Amino acid sequence: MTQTTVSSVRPYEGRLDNATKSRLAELPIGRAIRERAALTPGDVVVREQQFGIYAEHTWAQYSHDVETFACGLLRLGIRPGDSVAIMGDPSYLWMVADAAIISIGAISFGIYTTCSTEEIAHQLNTAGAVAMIAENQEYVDKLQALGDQSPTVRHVVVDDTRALFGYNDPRILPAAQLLTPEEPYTTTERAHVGELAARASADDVALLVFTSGTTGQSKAAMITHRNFMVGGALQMCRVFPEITGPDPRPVICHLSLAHAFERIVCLYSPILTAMVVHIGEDVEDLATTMVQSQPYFFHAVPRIWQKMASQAVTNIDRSSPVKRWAYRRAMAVARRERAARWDGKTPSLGLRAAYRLARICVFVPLLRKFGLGHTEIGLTAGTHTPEEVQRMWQYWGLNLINGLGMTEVGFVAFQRGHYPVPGAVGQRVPDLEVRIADDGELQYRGAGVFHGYLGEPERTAEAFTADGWFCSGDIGTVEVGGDIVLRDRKKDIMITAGGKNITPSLVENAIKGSPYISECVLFADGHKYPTALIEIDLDAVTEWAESRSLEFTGFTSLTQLPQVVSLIDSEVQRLNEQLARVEQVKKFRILPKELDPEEGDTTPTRKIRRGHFERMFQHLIEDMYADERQEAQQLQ
Amino acid sequence: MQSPPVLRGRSRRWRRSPYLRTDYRRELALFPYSGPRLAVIAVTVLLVAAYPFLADAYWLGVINLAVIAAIGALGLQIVTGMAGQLSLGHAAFLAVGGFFAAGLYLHLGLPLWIAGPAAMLAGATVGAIAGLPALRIRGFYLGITTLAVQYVIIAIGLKYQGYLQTSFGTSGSLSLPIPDLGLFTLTSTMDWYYFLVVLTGVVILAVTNLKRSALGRSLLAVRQRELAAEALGVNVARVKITAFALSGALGGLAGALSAYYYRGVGIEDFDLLLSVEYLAMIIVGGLGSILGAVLGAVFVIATPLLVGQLIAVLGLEGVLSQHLRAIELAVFALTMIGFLLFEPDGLAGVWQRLKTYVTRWPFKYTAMSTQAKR
Repeated sequence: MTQTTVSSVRPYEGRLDNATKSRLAELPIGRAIRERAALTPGDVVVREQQFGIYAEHTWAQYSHDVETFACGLLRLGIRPGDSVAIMGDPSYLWMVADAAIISIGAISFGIYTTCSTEEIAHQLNTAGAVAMIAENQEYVDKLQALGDQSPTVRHVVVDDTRALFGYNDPRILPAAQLLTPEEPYTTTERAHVGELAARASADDVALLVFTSGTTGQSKAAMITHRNFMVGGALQMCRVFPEITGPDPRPVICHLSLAHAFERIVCLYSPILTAMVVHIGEDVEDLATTMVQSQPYFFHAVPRIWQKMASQAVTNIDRSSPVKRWAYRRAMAVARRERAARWDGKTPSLGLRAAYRLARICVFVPLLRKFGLGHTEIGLTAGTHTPEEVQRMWQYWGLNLINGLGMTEVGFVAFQRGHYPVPGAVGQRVPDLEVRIADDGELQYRGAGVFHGYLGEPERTAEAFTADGWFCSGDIGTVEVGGDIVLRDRKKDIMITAGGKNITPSLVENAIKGSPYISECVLFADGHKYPTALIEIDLDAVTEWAESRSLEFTGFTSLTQLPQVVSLIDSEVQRLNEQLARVEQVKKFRILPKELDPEEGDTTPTRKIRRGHFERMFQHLIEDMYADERQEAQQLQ
Repeated sequence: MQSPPVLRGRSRRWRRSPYLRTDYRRELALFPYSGPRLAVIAVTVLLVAAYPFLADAYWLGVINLAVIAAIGALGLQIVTGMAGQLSLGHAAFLAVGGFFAAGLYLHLGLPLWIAGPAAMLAGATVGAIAGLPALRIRGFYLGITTLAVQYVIIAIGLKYQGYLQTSFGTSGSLSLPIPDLGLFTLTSTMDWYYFLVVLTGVVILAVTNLKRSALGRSLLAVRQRELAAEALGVNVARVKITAFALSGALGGLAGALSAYYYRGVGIEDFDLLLSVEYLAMIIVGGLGSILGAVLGAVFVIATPLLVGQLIAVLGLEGVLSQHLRAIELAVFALTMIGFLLFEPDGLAGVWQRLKTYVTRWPFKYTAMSTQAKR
């Protein structure tokens, strides 16, 4: 990959004014990138780490690379309206390829790196992909494993070709060939890319995002330029004006770019803001990337926030008495100070001073260990964040804000301001209308609402009301202040044998508040009492067990330690107290294996596929309800 | 639309992360920049500069001796601490340096600024020769051969002193004048102090630089496992000889300095005990650590004198004066045993632990979320 290293001491060219932001947001993505590059050509937009150092790419370079890659795609015979898949971890090439595909009017979509073979085939065929951009040989192998199940794919462009010896698939070609062709692109070819980018309309379909598919096959949501630019990126700018500058705002690209959340934040928001995307050496080593880039804005799915918080807590548990004492004192102050703020009161001067001291002595060093010392905004979105987790980060002085978004709608709501009350969903974004249907379902209308599901007119029709509102499937209300309150998913409510309604997500999230529990799946439908299958958090429980010198060999053996079972039992008992009596988890079993999306246990975003899950762990569920069955037999 | 509340940020200005590297220069830095590190260096420099005004002449002299010893200890650190080659004859190199400097003055009238580098060269030559057995033997056996080198040097020194006496008589004493460095002379203890401190600073920088260089890394590789080092392309023979030569050079320099500092030199001073004391310095300080060599030198030189002072302060001089040397040695021996038992990483290890405790606050170790995803 060609790269320029523009000295970073160069003065930053500053923020875009509101009018420019709005104008750029209304443009098709290809044109928006070109115009942004013309406005601030020398600003850095991406830093990508390779062999320990970060290569800097400016807007001028980015835009140029996009144009070059687009020329290459055109030479391969890819035409407007074709669709092209991208598979791999986040990288500069991923960003360039995506923008290039969209620039020439083709349709881009990302495939999760953790997708199973069947899922890959399903997505390629649904989209009718004519080409695939693969990060490395691993994904070429996945494609080749499909054999002739992916008849439409004519080209496979590979970024990292180091492991590609001995492959004689004529479809394979290295990405370098597109970026630096033997025969340079003519000015006519380059001009053609410009024309195609200009010809596109903001309401054309630019990309596909496959929804996670917890029930059945995943669906391809057709997303227009405007959906993500206005409904996503622009809404973020409006809610968080800080990210638009004036200084560079480091962010980290670490989630899958196949997901709507990461696409909006890292691919399209930088066009309107001062965000500088940092891509680490390896997505698995997020911690290092965080410390190195020290993000201003850090967004992650709740699982990551939870994981980091539980690491911090278990780490402090094992540290010296002085450190533990300092942390306990600091937390005592933090609890009182934050509680006062959440109640809308101003804490007393003494309490504020004490909290400030606690921050300096304990919390700032703690946040720095995670590279979050300079983070002004932490965003958690993607799925529900356990209240406990959000509260924890706020005690520590990290302004963790809850966001609600949907692939089909873009961003729906954000919490506002400094240290919002944990657990709430927040207020709707400015350019989205919300209404409540008769059955309590939240319905949305606005720039972010998508175009429909590709090739599935019936399901598209189901998703919209007759007057064009999108049906979210969420039951909820809008409070007086504009706060959205989610009650439940429409189809998700469980009814116990005693006729009580239970909202599983509520119970599951309460139980997941424990640092030792990473996943909880509730069962109650048609049973006398709720039970749960629990996946332990491997790192936290390993630490816990090691600090007690318990002997174990691996995940399964860890789950079978009687001490671990009693640890989880006490955690469940503790967290049960937050719940109403009928909701309390009466029995649980610990899953003997780690959930793995590649084995199909979960969706690629780590959501549980209930049907599959229940079949897989049927013996455990039956075991929990053994007494119920006995009773039934006795009655007979 | 209503304008959203603007955050009251802690630092709304962007500060570039110090860990964000866009080239390899920072990775190779001799002293990687960090605020606390700069502060520690600044405080150290200030304390060192102010010391002569805080201490009396006696303790200034003690530190002078300690600083000379530190240069010698750094030499031993290279061969034993870094390259892992046991050297029990370090006093031999000091003897070579001391005698060479004194001899050059006696016979040729050469001043310290020529004699010093010459003594280093002589030390390096003897060091390289002393290192030859290391090509064939290891561990205690190597220790014995280095011990042999020391006895050879002592024998040569005795012969030389005898020769001086028979040929020159009393005028052949190995005494030295006030050192003349061309630009200035080292008249007072304070002159010596600043000269030695600056010189030691230079030596520390040189050894630090050595440690991060290819040669330094080769030394460490040889210490860890010779076979593996060889497999990595390290020329083990050359590395070992170089280590001994460097060790000899620094030993020679320390010898020349102490000869001039005492204004004279005699072979009786370079006995086995001196070699053991040097070994003690790097063990107490921490094997392989540059800071450790310096701290160890100060510790080993100053402890017996501190014990003496303590006895004087407690008014026990009358009772214990006869056993003073024995008590000093006992204290020395006990601290050595204590370090070997409880703190094998030495004073440098203590410092490292302190640093770790502070930098990892409030954690036990740095929190790392390696598998946060998937």
